[in-house]
Amino acid sequence: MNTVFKALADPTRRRVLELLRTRPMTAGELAEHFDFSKPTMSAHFAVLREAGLVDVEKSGKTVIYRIKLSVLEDALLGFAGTFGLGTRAKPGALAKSNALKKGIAS
Amino acid sequence: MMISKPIQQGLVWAGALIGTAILLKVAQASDLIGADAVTRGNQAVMGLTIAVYANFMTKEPAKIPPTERGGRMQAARRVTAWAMLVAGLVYAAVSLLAPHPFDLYLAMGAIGTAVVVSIGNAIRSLGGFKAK
Repeated sequence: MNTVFKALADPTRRRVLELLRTRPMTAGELAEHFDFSKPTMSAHFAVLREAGLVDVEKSGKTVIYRIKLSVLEDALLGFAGTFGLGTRAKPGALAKSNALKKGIAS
Repeated sequence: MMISKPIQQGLVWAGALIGTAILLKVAQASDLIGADAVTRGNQAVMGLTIAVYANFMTKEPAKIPPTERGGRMQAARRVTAWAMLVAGLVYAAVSLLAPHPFDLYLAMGAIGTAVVVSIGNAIRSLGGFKAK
């Protein structure tokens, strides 16, 4: 549950989920809506995947993302969006943080 | 023999339902609760079962295509899940609290409304597919 709260705390990840609510999208289609670099977007996708909020399917060269929210998670997403919970991370901050974590772990 | 996770979860939930029913019956045999409370308790657990199942309905994997049509399919699933979850909670609440026989009518009314909303929404979505 902690991973779900962590995933929903970030406005960018919430925006990704809101986009996926309209329809499943490829990684490229999702990235078009953001100004972030590819590694940053990948890091956001990884957090969502870890929390079990999105489903990923590789179809040839494309990666399709589908929303996978339970009703309670859906309500939580709406609640977090309404009250603007969390702060927007600086572009690249998440990718740098993940790279640092990997460096520490290895 | 390996049992898949959904079947395991289903068996656990079925065990919980049977366990609750036995507990309520034992409580009745011990004169702790009346026959009405046993019926209401079992009805409430059934309502909660519907709500829990509905909550995870949209978590079930589905090969929804990344198209406009896929979006409609996804929205239909979401509406069904929300409708059934609310209906399950209403079913449980009225089974516990509403006076007899209104509890039965209200409970069945809640489920019926959710089914109508779900089917209606699915048909509306299908109409949308044809129009495209």
